[in-house]
Amino acid sequence: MTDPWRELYEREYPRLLRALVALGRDPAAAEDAAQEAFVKAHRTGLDRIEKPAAWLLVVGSREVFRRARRSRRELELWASLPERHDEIDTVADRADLLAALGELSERQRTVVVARYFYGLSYDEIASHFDIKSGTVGATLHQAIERLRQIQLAGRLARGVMR
Amino acid sequence: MSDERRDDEILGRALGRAIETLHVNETPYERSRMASPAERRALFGLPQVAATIAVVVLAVALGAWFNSVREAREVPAVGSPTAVPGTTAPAAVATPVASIDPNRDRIWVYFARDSLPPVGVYLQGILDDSSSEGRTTSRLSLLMGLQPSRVPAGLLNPLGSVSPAVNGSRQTGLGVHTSGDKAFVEFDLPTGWGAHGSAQSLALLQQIVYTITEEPGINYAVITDKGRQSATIDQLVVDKPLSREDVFGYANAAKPDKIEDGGTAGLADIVDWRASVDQVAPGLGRFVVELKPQTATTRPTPRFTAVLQPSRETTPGHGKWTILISMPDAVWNQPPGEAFHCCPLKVVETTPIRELTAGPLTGDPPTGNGAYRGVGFGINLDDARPWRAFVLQDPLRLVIDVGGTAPNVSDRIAIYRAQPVPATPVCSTTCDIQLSGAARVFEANVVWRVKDSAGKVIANGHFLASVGSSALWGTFDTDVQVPPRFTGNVTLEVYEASPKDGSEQGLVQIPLVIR
Repeated sequence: MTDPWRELYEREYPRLLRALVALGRDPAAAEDAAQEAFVKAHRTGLDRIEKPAAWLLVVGSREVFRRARRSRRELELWASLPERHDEIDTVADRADLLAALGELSERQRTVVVARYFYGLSYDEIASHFDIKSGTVGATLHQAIERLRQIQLAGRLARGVMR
Repeated sequence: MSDERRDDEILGRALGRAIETLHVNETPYERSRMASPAERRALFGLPQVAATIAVVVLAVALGAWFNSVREAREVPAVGSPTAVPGTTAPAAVATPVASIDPNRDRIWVYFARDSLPPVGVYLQGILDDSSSEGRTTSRLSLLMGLQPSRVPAGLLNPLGSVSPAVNGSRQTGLGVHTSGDKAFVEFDLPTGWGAHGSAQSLALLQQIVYTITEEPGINYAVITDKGRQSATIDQLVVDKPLSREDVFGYANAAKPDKIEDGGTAGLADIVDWRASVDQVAPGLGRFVVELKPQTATTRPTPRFTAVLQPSRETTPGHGKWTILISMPDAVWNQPPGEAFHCCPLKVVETTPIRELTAGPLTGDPPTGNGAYRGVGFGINLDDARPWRAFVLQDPLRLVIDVGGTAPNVSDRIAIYRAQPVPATPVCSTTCDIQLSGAARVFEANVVWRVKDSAGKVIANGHFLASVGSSALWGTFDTDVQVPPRFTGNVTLEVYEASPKDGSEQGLVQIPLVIR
């Protein structure tokens, strides 16, 4: 007899993990969030989850953003120290699409990943992520537009525009 | 489809492909948390286990490398020192012992100790989490009604001796309201406070002030007898707002705001980070970062900046103050398959240290070899007792010490141990007092003298600490001699002789009995 949880895990986990890495840019946090999403799903019960893939993305993305907020608070604390010795310039190295994604708002990131990586419809995005159905398209467009600008700026900064 | 929309689609799909090609380390189902025995157990009914699992998930989330998270202890140890172990333990956090909701079913309260600031403990109880006032009332009520058998060994509960007026409500004999950073607590105690003498009164006051100010954002306790503007505890009149630092007993404690050192070690790998409480000396919390320099040098020291600042936490349980330590040359290497998870946490929960945190100094991903360069640590503290930093060798360690036995600590001298060697035949020529501690004095020169019960100096001398005239403290572990065949009560005094005029600076006085 096959284990439905194993089946779900093996089908959805690889995609979820990648989505969460893209959303939060922290592989370890993404792994934690993905695992937590499955644990929560397990606790909720398969029969109570209508669309497990989207459900896992919703729960996992919330978790990844929650952790990122905590991370930011910690970073702000250390950033407030009187003397910092940052020697790692990272901005120039991040000018690719994935890094640009990280510059978007949490909502924009989520919508972009749900649409272009999970292939969810506008209606599905609206219902799962609690966004008014009429604003999904506009949010997506703004997100992509911003993504484009950031990517462009990054390329210019690196001098790779021909 | 409009051109604009098509452009969006093209970029969106490109992004989708980029995500698809992300290199990730996948966890097979067998090793997933969902498939773990702990999670499987949670499925079989018991709702309260869910909270336990949440603890487990959180703990596991901190990463196997930082898995020394301790369960909160119901009973603290005064007699038995406690330590938070380093990084050697396997992922044992998956077997929690507590099955209570960590937020609501346990209450952090303070008990008094002899000659030491109060110590905090989690006790089982129901916290009224509806408001700041509710939480404060819960904490005080728990202590006022606590059975003596529930008082942890070695600790005192003076609040258990007060006899409040019973008005039929749960908030027996207590009126609590908060305003700004002050909590106003009116006690209705028809038969008085039940404390006699200055020691008992101070112990009670310490316990009350610490417990009231446990609430985030509340820094001062305003304590009044019912219908009065002040409180009178035996002979002790309390008529002004009191912070923890007003009552904790470190009399000569000009706490530093910042300690820093440029260091000589260069890049150094972090081997371990840990904390202990009461091990080195009673009331002393010690934080240690153990390092291995990447290049060998003689007596290396790490570059760091440590700053004491009020805690910014807004939820209970994280302490009132934080020492933030920035170590720009410290390198955080990741074991294969593990990643430096943001903000790992080590729960200590033994006054004065509540928890330790660590994180990369920048938000950047690791460099090519999987290492983070530049690491920050946070020590979350119950109070701002005097603290000091020093460097120990073999292995290289940055040590931050917080507190100590209150009378033995000044702004430049901290005596951790002063132990007369019992008189034996060996003592026929001299008798020794073993003395260890830390000092931050001019040219490392520490001066001592021993006075007899009449105040007459019977012996004196000086010794050198390991480091002097530096932001870093020096350490010492030495013997001082008193005359042979002397017995009786003495006072050991240790201080810095001012380089200007020889006057005593940072004097600490330790009563001892030489037999």
